[in-house]
Amino acid sequence: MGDLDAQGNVDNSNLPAYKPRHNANATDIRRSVGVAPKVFFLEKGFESFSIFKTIEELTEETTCTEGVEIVIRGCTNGAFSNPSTIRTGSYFVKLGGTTGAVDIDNSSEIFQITRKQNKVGEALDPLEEASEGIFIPTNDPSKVALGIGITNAFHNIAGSFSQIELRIK
Amino acid sequence: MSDLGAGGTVDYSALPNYTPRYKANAIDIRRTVAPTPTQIGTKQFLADAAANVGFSGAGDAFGKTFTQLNSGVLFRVVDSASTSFCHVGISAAGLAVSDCVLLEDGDEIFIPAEDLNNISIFSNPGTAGITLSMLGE
Repeated sequence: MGDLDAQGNVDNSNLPAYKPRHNANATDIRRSVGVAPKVFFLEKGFESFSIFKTIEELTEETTCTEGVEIVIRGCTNGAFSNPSTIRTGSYFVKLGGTTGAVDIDNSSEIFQITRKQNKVGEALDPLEEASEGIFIPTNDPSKVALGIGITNAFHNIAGSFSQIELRIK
Repeated sequence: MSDLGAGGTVDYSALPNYTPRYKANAIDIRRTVAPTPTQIGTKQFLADAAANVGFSGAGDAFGKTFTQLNSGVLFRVVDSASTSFCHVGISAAGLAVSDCVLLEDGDEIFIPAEDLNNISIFSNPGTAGITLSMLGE
């Protein structure tokens, strides 16, 4: 709060130093329509990979402003598609742009997206939901890699048909 | 609203006291990209592995040497037998299962914390084990 000096003038000298608010003139997102994400569907084919691929490799998008959402849909392949709450394989996220073979062990630098593994007869999602996802904040799609699990310590199997949705914003 | 004083000067005395907005000059998070996670991992807590039974710091359990968090960490149960579960609590002397949250099949929890080892995970003996994935920043 400013004071009045002896002459009755406003004296602001006791106010802390300040500078204009950062990005003060930028578009106020509270009053603007959000930017729609770019949506990519990865169909059959991706699951044949047992390697990590970056989101940039999968979508050819080189930048984003908020992040990447990865959504794993229910299975579309015969025996796996009924009930629809069965999801395909176990999908893993790796950060930092690392690619290469999916190598799972207990100390892996991975996050498993799907809440239940695709093990025959046990692939039902415990929440009875057909899709599962994760949002990774980033401005560089090349720093987020996605891979599908193969037979490994977590008892996953590959080969089922998947629907993967990538939303980039 | 301010008034004019007798000398024509602006008189703010009718305005309430205020203080500069906290962190007024900090970066406005509404307009910046959220930090990319720095902590990531998946861990099987096997009940038959004696070393994994009992409380462990989450950082130690996931084999992390760098355990700092800025905002918190998400734990997701990605696999478990139907009768398996684990307990997650805030690290403290005398921490007991009764102080913890129970995680079981299909569960997920975000815990605000500054260090992974400020969170303790109790792998319960007598169950078939449980697998957690974690993602934190």
